[in-house]
Amino acid sequence: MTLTHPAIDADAVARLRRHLGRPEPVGPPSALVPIATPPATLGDRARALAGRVAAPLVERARQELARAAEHEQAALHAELHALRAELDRTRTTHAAELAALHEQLRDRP
Amino acid sequence: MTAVLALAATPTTARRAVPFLSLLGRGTDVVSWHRTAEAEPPAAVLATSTTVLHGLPEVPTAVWVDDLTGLRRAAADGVEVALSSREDLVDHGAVLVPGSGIDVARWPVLPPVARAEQRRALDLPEQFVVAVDHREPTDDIVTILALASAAVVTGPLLPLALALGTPVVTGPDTARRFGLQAGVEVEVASGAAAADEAARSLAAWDLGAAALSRRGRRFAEAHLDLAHPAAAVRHRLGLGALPVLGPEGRLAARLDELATPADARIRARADEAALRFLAPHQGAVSR
Repeated sequence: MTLTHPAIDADAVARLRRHLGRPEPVGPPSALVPIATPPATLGDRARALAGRVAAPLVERARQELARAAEHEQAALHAELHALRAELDRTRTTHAAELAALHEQLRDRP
Repeated sequence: MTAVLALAATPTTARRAVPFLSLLGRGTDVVSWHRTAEAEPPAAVLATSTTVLHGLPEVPTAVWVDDLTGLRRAAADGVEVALSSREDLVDHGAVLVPGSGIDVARWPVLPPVARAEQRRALDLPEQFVVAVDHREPTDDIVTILALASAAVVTGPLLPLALALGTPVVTGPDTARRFGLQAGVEVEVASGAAAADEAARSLAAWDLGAAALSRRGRRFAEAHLDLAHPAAAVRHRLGLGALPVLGPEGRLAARLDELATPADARIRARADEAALRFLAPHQGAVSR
């Protein structure tokens, strides 16, 4: 399930579920989970079990990485906006200083 | 094509135009009137005195006036708008431009809690009390004002300190000159020793410092912000609205559109949100 509404936080949902005694989702959508064929050997069964156990963790790690990147990107955008704004302020201030200087010096030989 | 805004000034009055012109001219090409031959014809002129009105082009003009005589002369010369730092001239049609005004939006407010966080992160003392009587806002001084727990500010940087939300102690003369109330926007103390002591007490009093910080910022927004007169003058000179800069600016512009009062709680919350979330990687002095 993808949570996209800004008012919905995945961690908050998880806490709410725990508070309500609801079971945690067992893993990613079934379409992403390979349908296991009955394992023929003990080794195959162990590998399949490890895969099932690891899948939610891998998915969680992937989500966390994506979320961290989003925060970083938003911060960079904000910083870029701030720098552009400051550049514009500085440009106008310099132009004003220069215009004032020209007016101050205009009668000088 | 970018509009040209020309400055016409006498040598002795040119400097006083710079802070206001820095805001008024945003999004335009600002030039000296005597250099307009090198640029496009000006769309408007800002004159610092009625004595320079003669010979200016027939374009919308704003002029500084210091008294009623100047105001009448400006009206006789057909200027669009008269500017003055004298409140009594506002009743006669002048636009009030605070003499010590600053561009408040340029300085995001730093409430005491945010200052404490910054100090911890920067390994600075838990309580950081300073005295500032400098005349120019150098990077060092701005940083100090932004990080201080409390500051004794007696010079022309008082508007900056208030805009940054610095809990301020000042002298009685300075407080009177700016119209600041003791115990409301600033603490007032006579003499250096008493002022230092008051600042130390203020730094140790979290609630008091937070209240002064908040009310000082509101005072700066309401009485010292050059953006309000700049917006009004731009409109009357036909230069359009002030360009909105940065995410904080956009937020403020939306609040302006909704006619949100300057002292509304939502403005303080928006400032805090901008500080904490919109620019989380900016330092203590995000300029």
